[in-house]
Amino acid sequence: MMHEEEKVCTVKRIESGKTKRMGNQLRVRKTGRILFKYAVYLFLVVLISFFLPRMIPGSPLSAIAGEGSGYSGTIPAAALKQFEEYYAPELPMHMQFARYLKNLFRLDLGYSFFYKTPVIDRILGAAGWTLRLSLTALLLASVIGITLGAAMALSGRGHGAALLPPLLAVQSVPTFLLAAVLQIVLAYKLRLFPATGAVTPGMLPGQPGYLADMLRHMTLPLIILTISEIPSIAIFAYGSTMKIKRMPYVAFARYLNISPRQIRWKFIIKNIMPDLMGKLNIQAIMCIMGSMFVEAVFSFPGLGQLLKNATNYRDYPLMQGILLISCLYGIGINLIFEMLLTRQTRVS
Amino acid sequence: MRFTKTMRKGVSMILAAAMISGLTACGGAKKEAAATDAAAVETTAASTTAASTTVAETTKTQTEGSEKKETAERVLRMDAMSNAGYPAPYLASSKGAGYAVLQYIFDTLVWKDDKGFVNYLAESYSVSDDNKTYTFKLRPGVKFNDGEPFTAEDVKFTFDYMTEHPYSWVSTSSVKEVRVVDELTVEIELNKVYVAFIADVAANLLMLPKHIYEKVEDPTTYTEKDAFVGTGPMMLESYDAEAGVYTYVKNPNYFYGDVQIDRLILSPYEDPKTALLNGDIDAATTTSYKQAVSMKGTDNITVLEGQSLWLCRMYFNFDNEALATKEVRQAISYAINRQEILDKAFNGAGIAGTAGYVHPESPWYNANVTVYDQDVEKAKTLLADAGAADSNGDGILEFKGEPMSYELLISDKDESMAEMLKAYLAEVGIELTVKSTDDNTVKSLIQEGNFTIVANGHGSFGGDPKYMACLATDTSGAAKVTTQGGTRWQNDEYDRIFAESLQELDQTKREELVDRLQEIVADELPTIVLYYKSNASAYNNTVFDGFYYTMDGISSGIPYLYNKLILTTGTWKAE
Repeated sequence: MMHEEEKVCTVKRIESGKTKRMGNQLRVRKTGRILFKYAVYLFLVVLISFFLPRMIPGSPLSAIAGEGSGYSGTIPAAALKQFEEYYAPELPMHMQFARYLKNLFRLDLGYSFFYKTPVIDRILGAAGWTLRLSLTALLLASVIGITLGAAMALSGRGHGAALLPPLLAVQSVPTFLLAAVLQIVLAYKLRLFPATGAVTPGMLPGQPGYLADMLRHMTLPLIILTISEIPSIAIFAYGSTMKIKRMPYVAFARYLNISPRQIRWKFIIKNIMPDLMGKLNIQAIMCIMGSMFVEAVFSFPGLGQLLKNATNYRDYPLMQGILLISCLYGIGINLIFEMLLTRQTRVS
Repeated sequence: MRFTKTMRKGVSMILAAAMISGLTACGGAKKEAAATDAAAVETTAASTTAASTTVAETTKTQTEGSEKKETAERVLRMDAMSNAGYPAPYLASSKGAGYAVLQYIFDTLVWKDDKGFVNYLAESYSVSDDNKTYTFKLRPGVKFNDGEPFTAEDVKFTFDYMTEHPYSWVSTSSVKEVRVVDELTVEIELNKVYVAFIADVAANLLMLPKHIYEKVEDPTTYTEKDAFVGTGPMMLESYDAEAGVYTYVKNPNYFYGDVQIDRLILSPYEDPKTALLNGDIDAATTTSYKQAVSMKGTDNITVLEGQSLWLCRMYFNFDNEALATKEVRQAISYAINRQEILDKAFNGAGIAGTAGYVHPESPWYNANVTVYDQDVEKAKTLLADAGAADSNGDGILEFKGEPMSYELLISDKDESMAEMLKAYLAEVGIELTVKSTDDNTVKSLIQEGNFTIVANGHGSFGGDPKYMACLATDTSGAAKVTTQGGTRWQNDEYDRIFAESLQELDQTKREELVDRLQEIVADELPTIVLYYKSNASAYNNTVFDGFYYTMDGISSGIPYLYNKLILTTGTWKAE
C-alpha cells in the first residue's frame, strides 16, 4: 500500500517540476482567453438589453421616439419624464449607448414605473428570495443526487440500476404540477406548511420568530425544488460513474491490488467531478427558472413574481433590468465554473 | 505513464473538491441555507409522523397559538386587491386598488358610509347662493399622525399642490381658488357650478400635510417615511414591495372615533376564499361573486352582497367607417344575446347589459330606452340598410368595399365571452378575430385608442351619474380607467345635455336630463354594455364584525368592502 503511494508521489513530483513553468504560462493565456470571451458575451448582453426596449413596438420609448402617441395616459407624466431622462431618446444612438453604459456602471438601471423606486432595489430585494431558495435547493439536490447516483453505479452486481426507472418517473413530472399537488395536499388539506408567501404577512425582519417563520414558509418550496432537481443530477452522476468505472485504468488499479475503497474514492469518485461540474453549471442556471415556477405556485416574492408584476403593469425599466441581471447571473455562473474547470484540468 | 497521469488527475481532483467546498463554505447565505435544510428535515419528519394520527390536534394548537397572539394584540388580516405600490397618493397605483390602501392613512373633507355622505374632516359645509363657493368648517383638534395640527392651510395647500402636481384619481380642474378664512375655515370657489363637487372632489381628494409636502418637489418618487403622514385611523408600519403586504398600526389620536384594532395587515391572495376558510385572513373581498356566495351557511362566515359597481362593455374605434355608423352598432347590439353571455361565460353573476349605460338598479335608470333583445333578422336588415352586402359570397359582408372583418381585443380571462361574441356576429356576417392579452395591456390599449373593437370591464361606475362623462367629448371629469382614447363617439346634443346636467341643482330636472342622456346612448350605442357584475364579500364574524358596503362604493365606486370607518364602528370579537 505505502509502496504504491510513494511511487505515485515521486512520479508526480518529477512531472510537476518539469511542466510547472510551461503550465503556468499556458494557464495564464487560457484564462485570458476565457476572460476575453466573457467580456464579449457581456458586451452582447448589454447591447441586446440596450436595443430591445427601443425595438419592441408599443413600448413607451418607441412612443416617445415616434409621435408620443398619448402614452402619458397610462404613464404618469413624472414617470415619463424620468424615463426620458434615463433613456434620453433625443440624443444620437451612440450617445444614448454611452449614457446607458455609464448608468450601468453606477448600477443605475432606471426607475420602476410601478414601484416608483430604483429598479436595482426591487431586483436585489426579489433576487435574495430566489437565490436563497434556488441555491439551497441546488446544494441539497447536488449532495443527495451525486451520492445517490454514485452509490447506484458502484453498488454490487448493478442492483443500483433498479432505481433508474423511478428516478426517470420523478424527473418527468413537471415542477409546477408537483408544486401544485403538494401545495394542495400538504398545505391546504393537511395544513402542515403555510400555503403561500415567504413569511406570514405582517412579519417583519428582526421580529421574534421571523427566522422560524421564514424557514417554515421556505420548507415546502424547497422540498419541491430539491425533489425536482435530484433525478437529473443523480442520473448524470450514475452515468459518469459508470463510464469511469469501465475505464482501463480502474481495471489496471485492480490488478495492482489497490484496495477497492481507494479505487472507489481516488480513482472513480474524484474523476467524475469534471463531468459533474459541467452538469452543475447548467443546473445552477436552470434552477433559477425552476424556482420561478415554484414561486408562481406559492406566491413567493422572488424574481418570478417581480417579472410577473413588471409585465402586468408594463413596467419596461423593471423588465429590462430583470433581463439584464438574469443574463449577468448566467454569464457569471458560467465564468466561475469554466475557471474552476481550467484550473483543475492541467495542461499536459 | 498512463498510471501517473491518472494519479495526477486524481490529485487535481482533490484540489477541485477542496475548492468547491471552500466556495460553499464562504457563502454565508449557504450556511444559513444548510441550517434551513436541517430544520426542514426535522419539521417534515415530525409532522409526517404526527400527520397520520393527530393532524387535527396539531393544526388546532397551531391556530390556538396564533389566536392567542392576536388577542394580546388585535390583528386584523384582510386581502388586498393587488400589490398597489407604496400607500401615498402619488406613489400608489392610480386604480381603485391604490386608493383602497391609501384611505387608511389619508382623509378627505367628506367621506361615505353605508348610507351616504358624512362630514368627515369638515365638521360642516355650506354652499353660496350662486352655488359656486363651498365653505368648509373643519373639525377642531385634528392632528396628523406626526403630531402636527391639521388646519385650513393644509386644505388650501392640498388643492394648490394637486393642481400643480395632478393626482390621477381626482381632478381639481373645477376649482378656481381656495381661500383660508381662518384656521378652521376654508372657502373653495369653483369656475362654474358643478353639482358633483362633493361627490367628485371633496369626498375624494386626500388631504396632504403641508409641512411635509411643501418641501417635496417630485412626489412621484418621494418614498421617505414622512410621505405617509396623514390624519387617518391607521399609520403605515411597513410595506413589503416584493410581496405587496401592507402593515398598518392604530393611530391612537384618530379624530373620528376609537380604532378597534391594533394592527391591520393587507396582503393579496390568489385564492382568498381558501385563505378565509383556513383562517389566514379574517375577511375576503377579492373573491368572485360566486365564490363569496358559495360560503353562505358556513359556520362563522357572514356573506355580504354589495351594489354592482362594475360593468363589462364593448368599445368601438370610430376611425373605422363601418363601426362609426350607428346602424352597424345597432345591428351588432341586436346580434348579441347578453343574457346568454352572462349565464354561460360568467356563471350568471350579474345583470345582463342594458342599452342606456346606467345600471338598472340605480335610481337614475331610465327604463324606457330602446331594448335590444337578440334579433338576427333585424340585425341583418339594419346592416343591409346601412349598405353592407356580401358581394363576393364568402359569408362576410362588405361595407363600402371593405370586408367587415375586425379584431376583437380581449383580456385573456374573457376568452369564453370572446368566442360567443365571435359566433353571434358571424351569424349576421361580421367576422371577428380574437386577440387576447393580459388585462392591464387591454386597458392601456383602450386608453391609447389602439384597437378596433374591445370588450372589457371597469369599475368607477355608480352613484352620481357624473360618470357618464366618459361618453362626452370632454372627458376631464371622468375616471381615467373608464375613458377610451383615439377617435371617439361625438354627439353635440349629448355634450350639451351632459354639461347642463352637471349644473342643474333641481333634482327632478336633473333626472330628466339624465333620462335623455340614456335615450341618446341607447339609440346611438357609442358603447354596448354586455353585463353588470355582481359584488359580494365574506368575513369571519368571530374575529371582527360590522362590515358594510359603502354607498356607491368607496370613493368613486370602488367595489371594496373595507371602508376605514368600519375600523372604529365595528366590533372586535376574538376575545
